[in-house]
Amino acid sequence: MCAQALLYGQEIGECNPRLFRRIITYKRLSQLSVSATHVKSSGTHSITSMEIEPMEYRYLISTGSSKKISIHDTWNLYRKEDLNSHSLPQVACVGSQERHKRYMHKNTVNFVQWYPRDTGLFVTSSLDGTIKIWDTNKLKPAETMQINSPIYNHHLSPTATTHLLIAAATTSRVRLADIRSGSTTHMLRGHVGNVLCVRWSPKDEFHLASGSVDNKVLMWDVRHAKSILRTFDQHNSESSGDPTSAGTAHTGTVNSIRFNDDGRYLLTYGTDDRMRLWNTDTGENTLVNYGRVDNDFQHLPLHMTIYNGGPMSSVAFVPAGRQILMFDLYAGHFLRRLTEHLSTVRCCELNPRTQEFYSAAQNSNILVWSPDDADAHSASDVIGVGGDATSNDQARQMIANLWQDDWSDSD
Amino acid sequence: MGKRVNAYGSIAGGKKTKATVYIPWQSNGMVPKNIIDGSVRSALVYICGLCSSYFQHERLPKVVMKHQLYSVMASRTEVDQGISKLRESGDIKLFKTSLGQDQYCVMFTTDYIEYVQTKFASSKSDANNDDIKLPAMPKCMTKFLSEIVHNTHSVSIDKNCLITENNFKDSDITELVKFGVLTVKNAGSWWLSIPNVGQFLKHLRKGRQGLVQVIRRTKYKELSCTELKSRKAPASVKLGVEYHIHDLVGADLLTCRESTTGVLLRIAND
Repeated sequence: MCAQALLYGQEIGECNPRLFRRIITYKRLSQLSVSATHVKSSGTHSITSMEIEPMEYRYLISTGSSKKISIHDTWNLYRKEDLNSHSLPQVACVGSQERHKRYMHKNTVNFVQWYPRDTGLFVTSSLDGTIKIWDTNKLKPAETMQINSPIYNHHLSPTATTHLLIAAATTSRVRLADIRSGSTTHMLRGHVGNVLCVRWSPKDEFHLASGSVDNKVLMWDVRHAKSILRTFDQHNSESSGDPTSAGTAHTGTVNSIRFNDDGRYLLTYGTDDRMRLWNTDTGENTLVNYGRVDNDFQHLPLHMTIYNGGPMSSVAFVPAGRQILMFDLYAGHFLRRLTEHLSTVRCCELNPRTQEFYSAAQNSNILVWSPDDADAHSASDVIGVGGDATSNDQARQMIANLWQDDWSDSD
Repeated sequence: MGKRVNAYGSIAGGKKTKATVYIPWQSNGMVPKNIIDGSVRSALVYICGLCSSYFQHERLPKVVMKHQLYSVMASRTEVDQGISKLRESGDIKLFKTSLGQDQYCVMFTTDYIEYVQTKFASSKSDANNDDIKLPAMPKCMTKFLSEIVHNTHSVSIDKNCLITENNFKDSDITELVKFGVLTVKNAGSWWLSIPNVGQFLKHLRKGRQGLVQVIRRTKYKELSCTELKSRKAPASVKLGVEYHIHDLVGADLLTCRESTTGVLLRIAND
């Protein structure tokens, strides 16, 4: 079915508009390729996390072992007419000026997240044991919370209305920091090894999932005293609902966990080279088989991302070494492999509106992948104007120009 | 609304059709089409049928490795979910092996019970005919077979279940471990296992190495499936060449590629 037939089908009411939209976005996702736009990198620091703000999907914030935090504008509206610069404009950078050194983190910043309601705030956490809540306009931290153990990951609930808790994953505990009161004393005990990843459920605002080096993924309810709701057991044994059972989610450290958009499923990724999809209500392993996904990173939190398209078109993007693999989320089929990075990929992020994909690795390069073909822009492109035209197209234009001669035709 | 068959199929470049990603056996007919499209149980029966006569001769258990099913059926998720359903219903039993992660032995429950019973002298004793003197079946073993094997569906079993629920004594458990139906996992829990499975695993491992060697010695490290079957099987391969092919392909030790001459098996590079 070509796009025009689909369009006509939608006009006459035969094709559901949501299905139409999903087909087009899925098609674009399957055509992702590296675009010439990139983010200028400086130095050899690794980028540990990126996030695109969830309101307009415009600003991308990224941070890493250089302790600098940079914000880029992905809409790139005011493109300079310069062939060479295809980089996303940097809107702000914490760390570019001397006065920032007073407020910056003292050690690798492990995670950054925009405040879920607007871009006025963002929250960073680092291995130096502090969570800083920054004011974006002033680029100064409005609040610094001390948790005296290295923090590997943190998360603010995107859907909570009654609480403003930041869950921080530290060495064998999950600490909850309350923005409203400033207290950081609530601890969730249950893991034995470092907790590498933590995520609030989008469905229940008091439920939290965490994955750790001790092979377990636990589900918590922060309102109860004995907080562990359930542990996810890969073998689905009879005692899998029991929180104190010895069942483990993976046979290796759990590097990354993500909920799907309605919170009913949890995708986890571990160093046993497997990804598993769990049903969050019952705790059972849905046994979706994604095959072997290589993972050698015992102590690094990695960041996957999910495109939530629907039961047949949801895609999980998983960093596996130097590649990023795309899988069908609910069926487990392998879709594509994105190989362009030269070092281990740490995090990836998808812009669901424009289907642009950003990935960052350990050599401080953020690559932008875009589904647009060069041909889509060639009608409006004049040689010399930048844009998303790939270098091939420009090379062709340039060679065509070389063969033109200066004599006029009218003679 | 009209046909909604696979709206994404052609748009996404046809990558969502069933038979693309894994195993192209349909083209050369090595695995019959009704097995590929059929249920997990029929695939299990098919692979049991591939067990060579060596199994009968040496009295090896009729074991299917779970990853052999990945090679036969189109979707791995379907295999996993099917195996889980069959296990819950008590039709098959899964056993963990020392070969590696995710390498489980699958046996039909009836086959398992029959096999364990052959290890003991039957009541109409034909011990006179055998050279090996078979011991009589102890009471704890009969209890084990009738209660535990039929009722537990998981891969391991722990102390609560054995002692409190079924009144096994410590001495009973020691006897069961001696006969090979239980293997120690850690203090207070045991893996269910098959007696004398070590021999089967030894043959499996040697056969794997033998076949992989045959392919490795070729110039381009790949061989067509028909060619492999037509060659004389190396001495170490005792369990049947087709059995081993499914085992190697499912365990991702060999990759399959369709070509105009049939299916090419190639050593997977790691």
